Amino acid sequence: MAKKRIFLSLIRRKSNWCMCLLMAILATLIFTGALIWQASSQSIKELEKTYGSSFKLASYADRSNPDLWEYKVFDENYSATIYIGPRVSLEMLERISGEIDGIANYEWENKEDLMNNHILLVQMGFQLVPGFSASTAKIEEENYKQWKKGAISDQDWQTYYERYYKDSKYDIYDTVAYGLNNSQYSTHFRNGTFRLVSGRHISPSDYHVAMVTPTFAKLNGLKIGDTIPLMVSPLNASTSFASGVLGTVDAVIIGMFEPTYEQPVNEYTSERDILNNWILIDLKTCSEMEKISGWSGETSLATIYVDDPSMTGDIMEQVKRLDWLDKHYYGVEKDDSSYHEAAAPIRTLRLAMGAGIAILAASGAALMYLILKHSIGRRERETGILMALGITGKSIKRQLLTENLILGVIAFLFAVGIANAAAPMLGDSLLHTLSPKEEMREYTKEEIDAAIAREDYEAYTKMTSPQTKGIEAPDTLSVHTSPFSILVTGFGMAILICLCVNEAMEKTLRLEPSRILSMIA
Amino acid sequence: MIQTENLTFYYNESRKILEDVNITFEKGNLYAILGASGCGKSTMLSLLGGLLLPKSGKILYEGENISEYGLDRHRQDHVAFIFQGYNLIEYMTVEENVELTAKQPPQTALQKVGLEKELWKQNVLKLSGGQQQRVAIARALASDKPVLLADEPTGNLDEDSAQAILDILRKSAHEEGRCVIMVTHSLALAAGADEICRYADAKFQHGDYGLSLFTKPENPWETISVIQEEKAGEINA
Ligand SMILES: Nc1ncnc2c1ncn2[C@@H]1O[C@H](COP(=O)(O)OP(=O)(O)OP(=O)(O)O)[C@@H](O)[C@H]1O
Ligand SMILES: [Mg+2]
Repeated sequence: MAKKRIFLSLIRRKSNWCMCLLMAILATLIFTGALIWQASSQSIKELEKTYGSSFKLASYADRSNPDLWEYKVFDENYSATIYIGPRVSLEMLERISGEIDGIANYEWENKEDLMNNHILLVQMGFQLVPGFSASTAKIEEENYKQWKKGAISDQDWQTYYERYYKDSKYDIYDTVAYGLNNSQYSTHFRNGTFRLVSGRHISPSDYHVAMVTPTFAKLNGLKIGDTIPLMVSPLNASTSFASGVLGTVDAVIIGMFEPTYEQPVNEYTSERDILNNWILIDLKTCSEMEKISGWSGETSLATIYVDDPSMTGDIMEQVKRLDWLDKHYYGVEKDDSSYHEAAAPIRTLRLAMGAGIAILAASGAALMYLILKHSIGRRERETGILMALGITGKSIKRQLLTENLILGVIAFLFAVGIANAAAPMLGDSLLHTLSPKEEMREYTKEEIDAAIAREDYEAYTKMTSPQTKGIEAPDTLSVHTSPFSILVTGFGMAILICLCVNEAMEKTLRLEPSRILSMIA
Repeated sequence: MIQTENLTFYYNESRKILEDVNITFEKGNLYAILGASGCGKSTMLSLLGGLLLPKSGKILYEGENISEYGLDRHRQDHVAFIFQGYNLIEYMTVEENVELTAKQPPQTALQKVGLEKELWKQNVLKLSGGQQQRVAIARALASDKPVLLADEPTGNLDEDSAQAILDILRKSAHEEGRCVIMVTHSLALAAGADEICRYADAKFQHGDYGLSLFTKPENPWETISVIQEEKAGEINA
C-alpha cells in the first residue's frame, strides 16, 4: 500500500510537479555551473600541461663583465657590441635531457619573440608570399630622399637601386628557418598556431630535414621528399636583408604544416613575418646553419619541457645541481607569466562558477528546504489522517522521502539534459565576455604610414607583425558530463532532499495527530 | 477490552476536559457517548485511539497500557476511526481511500455502507457530505480492527441511512465481536446502542439537558444501560 500511496500522490498531486520543476531549475543551474567549473578546471590543467610545464635555461648576459662582450664590425654599414660569453648549446641540452629523467622536449625558441634565435636566410631561388621589409622600405625611402637632395651620388644610388630597389620590394626574398627539436611538442603546435597537414613532424633524431607550408610548396612546386637548399646569409641586424650567401645546407622536406588562422598580412608585413613563408628545420641543422652564419651556434635561451607539470620545480632543481653547468653563466627560471595571463580569464570563470555554485547551492538548499517544508506542511492533515489510521510515522516519512527523491531524480535527469545542452554555449559565451580577444586585423596603408610618420615604431611593428604570439587560451571550453560530476551533484541533491524531508517531517511527527487534525478541521 | 484508569486530560490546565475518568468498554458491545458540543467527546475518542496522550492516568487495552504498547502500534493493531470530519485523503478515489488500511476487499465494505458503485472510482471530493461519511465508515470497517471509534458517524445522513449505519455498527459489534464506541448527538441513535455513556463537565453544568444523569462533577462519566424515551425528548427540545 505504501507503494500505491506514493504512486497516487505522485500522479495526482499537482503541487508535486511544481516542486519537481523548481528542483529541476535549481539543479539545472547548479549542474550547469558545475559543468562549466569542471571544464574550466580541465582547461586550466591543460594549459598548465602545455605551457606551465616548461622552464628556461638561460645564460646571463652580464653587461658589467667586459670579457663577455666584443665590438664587432659586420659590414661597412653595421657594427655592434655583441655578446661572446657562454651560451646554451645544443650539446648542453642533449646532455641535460640525457641525464635527467622526465624531460619531454627542449627548444631554442623564445616564447616572447618569435624572431629571436632564428637564422635568417636568403632564398634567392624561392618564391615567397610577398611582404615588405619595413627597414628596407625606410632605408629605400631615406636613400631616395637623400639622392633627390643630392646627398647621395648618382652612382651610389644607381648601385643601390640596381641591388635592392629595381625589381620592386617583393624581390627581397628572405624568410626564417625555425629550428625545432621535436616539432610536435613545440609551442606553436601546442598552442594551435600551426598544425601538421601532411608528412610527419620533426623529431630529435632528425638531421637535414625541413617542414614547409603548402602555400610555400605550391609557390615553388615542392612536395614532400624534395630537397631545398637553405642559403645562409650573414646576419645583418640593421637591415636584415640579404647581403650575400655564406653557405648552403640542403634539407629534405618531411612534412607540411600550416597556420591555423587567417593571418592579417598587409603590404608592410615583412616576408619573414608571414607564417606561410616559414621553414621549420631540425635543431642540428639549425645549429649548423648558425655556425655558418658566424654565430656560435648557440643560444642565450632555451626552453625545456617536462612530462609532468608538477615535476617542473623538481627537475629545475636537478638542472641547477648539475656540476658541469657553470652557475656563473647559466640559470634556470620558471617563466609562467604568459601562461598565467592566458589562463586568467578561465581562472576567473572557474572562480565565478565556483562562487556561483556555492551561492546557488546554499540558497538552493535553503529554498529547497523552505519549499519542502511548505509542501510537507501542506500535507500535515494527510499525515495526521494516515497516522490516525494506524500508518506509522516512519512509513509516512519513508513515503514522503521516496516521493521527493523520485521527483528529485526526475528533476535531476531533466537538469542533466538541459545543462548538457546549455553549459557549452553558456561557458563559451561567458569565457568570451571574460576574455575580450584582441581582434586580428589588417591595418591599412594609411594607418601604417601614419605610424611611420609619427615615428611610433612600436605601433608600426605591431601593425606589421604576425598578431598571434605566445600563449593563447582556448576560446571554447570542452564541456562534458563526467560520471563523477553527475554522481556528486546527484548525491548532493539526494542528501539535501533527505535532510530537508527529515527536518520538515520531524516537526509534523512530533505533533499528536489529533492536534494536526483539529488544527485543520 | 478497553478501559481508562483515573484518566485526566486537558488542553489548558485551567480547563480540564477529563478528570479522573474510569470507564470500561467491552467487546461485542455498541456504546453511544452523549454530551454537549465541545464537552470533550472527540477528545475522549482520540485518547482511546492513541492520538493523544493522557495528562495522567492510563488507558488499558486488554489490560495493557497503550502508552507502553506504543500508540503507533495501538492505532495500527487495535483501533479504527470514523472521524467527525471524515478525514478522507483528498487526492484519492473512494476505493483508494478505503484501501488505505483495508484488510479485506474495499468493495465489500463499500457495499455494506450502501455507497453506489458508480461512485467508487470517483475522487472523494466530488461526493456529498453523507457519501463521504459512508466512505469513512467503509474505510474503518475494511480495516478490520477490534475497536471501532466512531465520531458522529451519521451526522450527515438522513434518518434512514443513519439507521442503516447504526445497524452496520451494531452488527459489527455483535456479529464480529468488535467494541464499537460511537459519539452521537442523536438520542434516537443512542437508543440503538447497547450502552450509553454520558459526559458532563462540572463547568458546563447548566442543566439544559435536564438529565438526572448529568451530575457528579468528580466523576463525569457514567454508564447506564437504558435511556428513557421522555428524557430523550427533553434533550431534543
Ligand atoms: N487541539 C486542541 N487544542 C486546544 N483545545 C482543544 C483542542 N481540541 C479541542 N479542544 C477543546 O477541547 C474541548 C473539547 O473538544 P472536543 O472536540 O473533544 O469536543 P466534542 O465533545 O467532540 O464536541 P462536538 O460535539 O462539537 O464534536 C473543546 O472546548 C475544544 O475547544
Ligand atoms: Mg467532536
